[in-house]
Amino acid sequence: VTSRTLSRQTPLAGDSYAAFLAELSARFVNTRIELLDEVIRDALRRIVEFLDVDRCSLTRITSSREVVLVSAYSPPGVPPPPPGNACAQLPWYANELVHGRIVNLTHPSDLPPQASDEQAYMQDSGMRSHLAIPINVGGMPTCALSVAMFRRAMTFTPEFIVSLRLVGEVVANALARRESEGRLRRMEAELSHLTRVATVGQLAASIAHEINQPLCAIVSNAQAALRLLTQGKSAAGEVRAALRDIAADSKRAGDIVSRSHRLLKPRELSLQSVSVNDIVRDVMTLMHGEILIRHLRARAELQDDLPAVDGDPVQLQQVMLNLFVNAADATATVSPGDREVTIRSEKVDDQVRVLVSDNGIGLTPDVAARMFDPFFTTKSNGLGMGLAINRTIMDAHGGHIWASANSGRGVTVTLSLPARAPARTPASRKA
Amino acid sequence: MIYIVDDDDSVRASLVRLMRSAGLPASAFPTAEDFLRDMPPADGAVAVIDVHLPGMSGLELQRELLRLGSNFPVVMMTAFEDSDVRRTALNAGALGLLIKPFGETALLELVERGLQGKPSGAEAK
Repeated sequence: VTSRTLSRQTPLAGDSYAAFLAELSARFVNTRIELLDEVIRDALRRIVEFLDVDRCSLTRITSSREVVLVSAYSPPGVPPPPPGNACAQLPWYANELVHGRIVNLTHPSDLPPQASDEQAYMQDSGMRSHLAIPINVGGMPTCALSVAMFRRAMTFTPEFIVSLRLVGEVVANALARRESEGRLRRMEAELSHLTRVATVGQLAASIAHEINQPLCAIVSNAQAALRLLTQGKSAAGEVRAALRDIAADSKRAGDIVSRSHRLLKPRELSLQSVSVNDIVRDVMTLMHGEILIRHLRARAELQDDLPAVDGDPVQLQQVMLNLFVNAADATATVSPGDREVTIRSEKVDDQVRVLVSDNGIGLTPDVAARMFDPFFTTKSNGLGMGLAINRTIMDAHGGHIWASANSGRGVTVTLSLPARAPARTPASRKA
Repeated sequence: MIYIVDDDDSVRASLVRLMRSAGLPASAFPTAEDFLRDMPPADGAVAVIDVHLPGMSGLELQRELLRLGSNFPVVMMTAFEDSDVRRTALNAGALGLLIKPFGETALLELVERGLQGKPSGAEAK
């Protein structure tokens, strides 16, 4: 909305309307998406007051050609608009809007004969005049802003229509922004889920290993206990010990299943106070089989009494798992006994950092420049989404991720997250 | 004597308990290096060795025993199936490869064969 347009086409209340629009526009631009509904309601109220109309409504025109009420303001004594989908109740009206045509009714008699539902509605509700302006975003009507008169009839001048359209465009753009952000978030969540599934797929052998170990112990203990009981020897102590171990190993297997299962569930970001050290320990547990299979020397060097961070534990775990797998992959060219992956945690100023280092093939400047780009991969079977998604996740946490070549061999990828300000984590367990 | 070599505390303890409940004396080592340091006598003994050990792997331990000229009867075990591992283990003379979790029957059969002094791996090729 440019001021040129305003001054040329808005004789209505002149400068004060331009100021009103500019302020409204600024509010929409500066509003967080979550607060948009509130700002829209407030804008509708102010339109009613500014233009001296009785009711102002915003309806959305969906891609499936439905006309749905988003929000409305009417002062006490004025009936609210019909809720929900207008297509069924007011088919002529909805059809006009869907096709991008303005509905301008000074009197109910301005309705065409086929608009019988609309005639009945105006009569029943006591509506005297109505103006609805469909607003195009991207060449399609996406919403309509409408005003209605009950106390008196009103003739909507071309200037009035231009003025209302300008407000409508401000609101429509805010709505479009919300929708595209919502869509983007859903796509990110979906992609992040798929990457997690792929990560878990990569780790299938490792997870099978981790579950089969306690299962093996459970079976052996159960059979030992059965033997001891059948032999009828007084072996109560040993049987009790076997049963106790069975219970402990069952819990261990269950924990591994639920840890892997958590990674497979599609979900959106949910921030809570989390201990980065706990996540690293979980990752080391999940990767235990992988460490053995790949002949890695894996170490965790965790700084005690790290502050907590605001994070989604599953997503942060996903990032660290992905970095661990990358680090392990990078060491494939190193001879088996010398492959090293180290995860460190530390506090630097008000940031909690996790550093994942390997002694593998290292980074060329070309790879370093592009490694966080979507679909960039150096692996023959890679999708190239792991690091790109890691960066998206870190962005959502207000954090950073970067990679640097080590002074010796290999690469260190650093995650940096803002430390949670007030409380510190309860004294964390020793690594 | 049955020697269990496994880095997993639960697995080690449970297999020792199972062997003893079957009337077979047993003891255990958490790593291949520990086993080699003690180097228990092969007579009347069977080693039950996990493939994936930290440090020297189970397969490397098996090779090392061969290199040292020991005819220790060896049963290998692993927590996940891998045909390469099976081939390598059997070619190097293992009595068998058990996939965890396994039942006692399979384990006891292999251990019995080892105790009866069948030359390790002769018919496994």
